[in-house]
Amino acid sequence: LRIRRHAIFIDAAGAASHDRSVWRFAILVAASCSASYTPGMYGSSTGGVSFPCLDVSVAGTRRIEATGPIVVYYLGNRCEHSVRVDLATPGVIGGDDVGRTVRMVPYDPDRELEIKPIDARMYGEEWIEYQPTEPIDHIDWLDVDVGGVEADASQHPRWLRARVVP
Amino acid sequence: MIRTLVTVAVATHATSALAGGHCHEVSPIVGYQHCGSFGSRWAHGVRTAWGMQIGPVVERIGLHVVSDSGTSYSPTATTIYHAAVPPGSDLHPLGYGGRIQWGYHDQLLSAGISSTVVFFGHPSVVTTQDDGQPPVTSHGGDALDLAAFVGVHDRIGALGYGAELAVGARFVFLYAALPDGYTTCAGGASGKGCYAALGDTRALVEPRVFVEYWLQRQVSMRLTAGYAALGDGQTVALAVAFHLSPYDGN
Repeated sequence: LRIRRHAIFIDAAGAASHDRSVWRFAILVAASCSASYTPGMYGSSTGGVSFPCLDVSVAGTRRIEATGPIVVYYLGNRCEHSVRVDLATPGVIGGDDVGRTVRMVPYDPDRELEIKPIDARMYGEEWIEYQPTEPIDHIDWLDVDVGGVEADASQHPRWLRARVVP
Repeated sequence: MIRTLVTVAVATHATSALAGGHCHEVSPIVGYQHCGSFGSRWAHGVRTAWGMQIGPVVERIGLHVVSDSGTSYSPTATTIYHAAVPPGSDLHPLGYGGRIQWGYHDQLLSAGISSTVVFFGHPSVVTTQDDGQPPVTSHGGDALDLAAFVGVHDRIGALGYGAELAVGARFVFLYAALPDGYTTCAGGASGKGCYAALGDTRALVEPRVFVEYWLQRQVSMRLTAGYAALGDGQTVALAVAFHLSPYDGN
């Protein structure tokens, strides 16, 4: 069997071309790798709740486009596997500083709220507007039961209070 | 081949960028968003389960062709050359080079292609010619493995492990120098294809096992050992692997 030397040169030329392409691709891939979640990266006045994998904290706010107060859920997955997140069913109570309270329901006109997985070491936030089930003049705070947010963890009420700040 | 893969990857990213770049978000609130939707900032959507790895490799190559003959030319003469590895030489040299691997990885299975190139510095090849030119000696050669692989893998915490079976072809070349002024092209012409070499092409069937440590949710360091059941050789490779799906979708 006789193989001409040119095959070696084809290899060498190909390798040089590979080198450039590989480095370009490596940089591209590296750039696509987002930063991982670090516990505590979300500062929260509510303190937050830690599940076996998920850290959850909340904040209350208002936005001009929404009529009701908004709960901002901050989520961080400490685990090296994905976990299911349920933001569709947390119970929410709204109240004012003179003692009136009312049950709140999420504003979800497109029926988007459902259980979704969050990737390993991923973090993010979700803004959900809540509307009172009966009239109330003013809402100063929101109590949010986040006990079921990590869908596959043990379920029991865990309330967090968030002041509603404009 | 690699150029094609890179093009696909770039196109995939470009498509993603375009898909996200033409929409101006007006609100972060569920029910008011124009571009995103519930979960779009934290829940994964369509998984991109592709990944690649690249790194150094050490390969012990088996040399099967130890002699060859052919016609060599100079501007004034035509003769026959005989290139041979001297008796007693080590026919399993160690080669050093690199490997790049690209493929699909889900929670359990993987499949893809790998390309490995190594260079080795021995044995020598001595070339003589029928026209009485003094013998010429050259050293070493290179080997190229092209293979497709399938595999299984699992992970315990940050430590992954698995096995793959690579099937493809191995191309081995040993450099064979000719006396000054001689080439393998008529008239002593130089250029591509005008050089002598000992070489062979053989089937490659290489089971591989690996362990990997996840440095980050999309980056792992992998150590692979392979034994060429068909193809004659053993390989140890170290690679940095990039995974577009965190922890391969786990």
